[in-house]
Amino acid sequence: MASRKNRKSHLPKRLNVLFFAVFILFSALILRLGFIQIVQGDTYERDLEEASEPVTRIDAPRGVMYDRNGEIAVDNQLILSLTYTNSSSVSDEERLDIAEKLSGYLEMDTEGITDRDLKDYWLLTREEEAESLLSEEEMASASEDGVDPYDLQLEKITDEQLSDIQGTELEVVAVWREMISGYNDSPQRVKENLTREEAHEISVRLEELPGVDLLRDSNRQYVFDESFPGFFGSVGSIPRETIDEYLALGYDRSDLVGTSFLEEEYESALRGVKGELLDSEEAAGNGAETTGSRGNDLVLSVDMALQQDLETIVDEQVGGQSGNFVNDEDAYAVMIEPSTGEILAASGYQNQVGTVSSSFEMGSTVKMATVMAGLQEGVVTADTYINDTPISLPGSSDISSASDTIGSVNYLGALEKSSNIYMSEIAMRLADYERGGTFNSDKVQEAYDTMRYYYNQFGLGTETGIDLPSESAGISGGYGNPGNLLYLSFGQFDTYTPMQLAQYVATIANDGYRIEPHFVKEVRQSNPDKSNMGSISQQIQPSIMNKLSVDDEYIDMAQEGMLEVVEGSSGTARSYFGDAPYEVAGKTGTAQVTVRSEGSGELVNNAVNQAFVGYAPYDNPEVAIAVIVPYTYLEENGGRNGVANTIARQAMDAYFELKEERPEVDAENEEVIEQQEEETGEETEE
Amino acid sequence: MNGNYPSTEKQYDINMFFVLFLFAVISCFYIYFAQQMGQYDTNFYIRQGIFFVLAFAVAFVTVHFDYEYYLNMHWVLYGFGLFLLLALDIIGPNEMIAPLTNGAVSWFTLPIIGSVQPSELMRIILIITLSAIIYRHNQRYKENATLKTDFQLLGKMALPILPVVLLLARQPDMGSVMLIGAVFVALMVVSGISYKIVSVLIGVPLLAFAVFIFLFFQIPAVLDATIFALMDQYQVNRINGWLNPFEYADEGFQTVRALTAIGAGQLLGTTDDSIYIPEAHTDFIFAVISSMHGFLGGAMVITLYFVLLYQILMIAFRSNHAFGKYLCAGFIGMLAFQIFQNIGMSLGLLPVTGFTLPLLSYGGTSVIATMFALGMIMSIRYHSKSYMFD
Repeated sequence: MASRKNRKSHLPKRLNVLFFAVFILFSALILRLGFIQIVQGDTYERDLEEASEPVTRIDAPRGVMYDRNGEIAVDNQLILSLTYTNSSSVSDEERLDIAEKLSGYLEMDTEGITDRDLKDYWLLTREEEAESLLSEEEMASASEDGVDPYDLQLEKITDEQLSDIQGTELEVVAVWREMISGYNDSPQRVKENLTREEAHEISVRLEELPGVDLLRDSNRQYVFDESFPGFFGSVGSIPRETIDEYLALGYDRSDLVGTSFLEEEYESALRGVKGELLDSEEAAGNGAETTGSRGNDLVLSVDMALQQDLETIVDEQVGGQSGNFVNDEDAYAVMIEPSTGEILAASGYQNQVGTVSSSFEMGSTVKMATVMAGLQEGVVTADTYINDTPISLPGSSDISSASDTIGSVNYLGALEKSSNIYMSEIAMRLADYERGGTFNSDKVQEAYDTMRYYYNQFGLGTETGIDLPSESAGISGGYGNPGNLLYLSFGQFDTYTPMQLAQYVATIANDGYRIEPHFVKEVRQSNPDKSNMGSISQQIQPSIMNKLSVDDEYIDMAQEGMLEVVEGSSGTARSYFGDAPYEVAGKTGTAQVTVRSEGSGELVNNAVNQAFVGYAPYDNPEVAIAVIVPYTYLEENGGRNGVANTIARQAMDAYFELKEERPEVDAENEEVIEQQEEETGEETEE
Repeated sequence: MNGNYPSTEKQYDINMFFVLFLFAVISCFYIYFAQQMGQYDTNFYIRQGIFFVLAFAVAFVTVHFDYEYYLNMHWVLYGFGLFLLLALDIIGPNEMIAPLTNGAVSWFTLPIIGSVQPSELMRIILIITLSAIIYRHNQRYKENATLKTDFQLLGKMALPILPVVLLLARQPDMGSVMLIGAVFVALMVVSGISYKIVSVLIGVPLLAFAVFIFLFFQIPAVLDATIFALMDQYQVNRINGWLNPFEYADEGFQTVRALTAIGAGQLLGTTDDSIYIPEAHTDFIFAVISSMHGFLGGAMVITLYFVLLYQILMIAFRSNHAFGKYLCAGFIGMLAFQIFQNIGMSLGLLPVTGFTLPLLSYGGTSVIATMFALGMIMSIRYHSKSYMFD
């Protein structure tokens, strides 16, 4: 009895022990809960906002691009893409299996397969042979040296072994390499633009292809075919180096973004608002879906009709004439509206993007800037006459003008007849140098600085501020010898881009106000009916970068000089523009350049850059143009003269012809009328 | 003692019924919200309500059944439970009535009744059986318990457990095996076995566990070569996902989701239900509660469980029949382990196993079995006899 009582009396105590353990466990739960929710709560909340992906987001198409007249220039085309979502839990074999199945239904391009892809694939699929590549000793020494044996295996594979992969297996490799190139848990496009048959074959077999999905994508479609896509830029997967920035903006890894030029510059506007589809098929039936919307549309300042005309003109003038060029035929032309900075057309024969990325010596076209610098600095006046005779400098070849019949000229004659000596004289005076004297190197440096100070104000040698992600500022020759200073004064030392040249002439036409050039006029909200533009969400206003620090009278004098170039009895552009039905101001340029021939590898020193700048009408400029035809031969060396001038003339003609046609053609188009009203509104504001 | 006429109080435990009613309401409420997350389109909360009505009826009937009868029929119950498990083992996997779900054969799918999980029933039967064994043993050796008899008791307890554990491991349902271990430990503590034996039997596994955790984080190579080499890959994955959820993103997927949802709940809860909580209405219902209503909601639920366990403890104290006390201890062990395991896994403390949260998770078998067990507990109170001289 005593013992049993003893045992029984144990019971309440032991129940307490048990319950104490329960108490400890529950306390641990409460503590842990408090730690997670109260101490770490903020972190998790942030994680939740960033990482949660409860819904499938449906890609929305990018905004389209209209030209200045409301014509669609860049459109979207709905395509189907095949995606594969890689996951760390899928084995290599399973992936290979899927790749093999997929290659049976897909037509893959095997061009882009690299040797490395083949080797990786080979090692993966031919395990036994792969093992026999390395002897055990090699394996051992590799692990001693800390070398990955895999790298050694890669080296050891022979081309012969690789050639084992043939025909359909190559297609498997093509599919496989796309499958493994994405991020884990994020869909990677294996093939874009599936054919109807491919999409059908795949869609009925999605069940047996884990990780594979079909995605509605939109592809860019260029309505005007070859015209202008260079500047439109391209759309592609997010580049790895910028992935973090895009993720921070709420992009998905699989998104397509603008990767160059306008597409990149205006990514934030063009980007569509994604639709959301609640996860799983169960929810789909409940209509738990929000539709996305197309990104905002861009209205370009470019007139696609003029753009096409300009391209045709350039084509006709330089196309198929490789004999006239040291290397490949090439030419650039930019047409700009001086008062707004709107780019009307921009063409590059080899590469349209060259208008902002390639720079050339622009020759005498820069002389207006030199004249204005000289006048403003007071080293010449309206009445300063300089006799055009060759200048010989110690340690430099003689400097002379292209024509030897110029005689004694003031600023007007110097521009009309394109006197290099007049410009050199300005440079020399800026450097306190007289013929036969000696150069003071400090003064020479000062003169370089002074001249570039003026040139920069026109946009020459500095960024134009154009609405593209990158542009070249041209190449400055630095402080050269005194002779180079003189060459700088007539455009044969520093190099400038065609866009800079266009901004330069537009600034002169615009009475000294330098305006940022831009390709995009407005951003508009997307309208489902693409034939009518949506409402304006952002108007790109002309942005004045600076006003020339040159007195207005000197600007007027430079403009008069440009008029003389066209209308003067010995004007260098008279033969090209003399009979034009509109009044043009312009300046020709022929820069002697030395360039290496890509064919022979020899230096060619009788090549020239032919250039032209101008604007019209003289009294109320509507259009300014800059043309550069680089590295050509002159007639005496088997080439052609005046190519740039001819391009400019025909482009100007095209502009005015289109202007005459337009109101009649588009009189019923409300958009155009509305636009014109806006334009006149802008003008009165100024 | 036998001469005293026993009188029964015949009292319903209104307090416990109230707590159970609260659980029923909370359960339906949060299952409703879990359902709003768009994973499923079945009306789980209505079905859960129906389960609760049935379960309350079962409990009410059980209350009136004198628990002392179990002393005489526990072998019958045990035989029935074992039969079910054996049947499952032999039939399954079978598409029709014993399908393979989530990699294990744990369920019967029966017409009309629906899915039944025999292990839910078996754990309760095991508690009854073990309690009866301990009671009989202690009656027999009431005068002269020695270390030798203690070992005999341990042996008697282990005997009925072994076949059950074997069958469960074959399903495989390691969670239930662990649960039975917890019940065993709880009953062993109260059985009166010498603390010397108890401390060794609890201390050694605890030490082993501590060594395991140490090795995992400090010298993982040892584990890879020994224990992990013997385990199935999915089990290794689970351990990785548990101890290192953010690194083993696939295996730790559920843990990370649950942790993030709970963490974002902060003090008062969040309305951001954008995170996908897997199995939100069953295994991870606690994540839904503490995500929606924060620390307050989570702590309230944990407290409510504590109250329930405390009520069972009080019944154990008041009962003057040792068998009743053992039953209570067994159920405390079972419930406490289930609760700790389920909430612990939501909080990333323990590995993910298919444990439901008793009384809150969606599931007919679980709710009815738990209520049946609690009915038995209330029956101890209801049939508690007061002796004049004791």
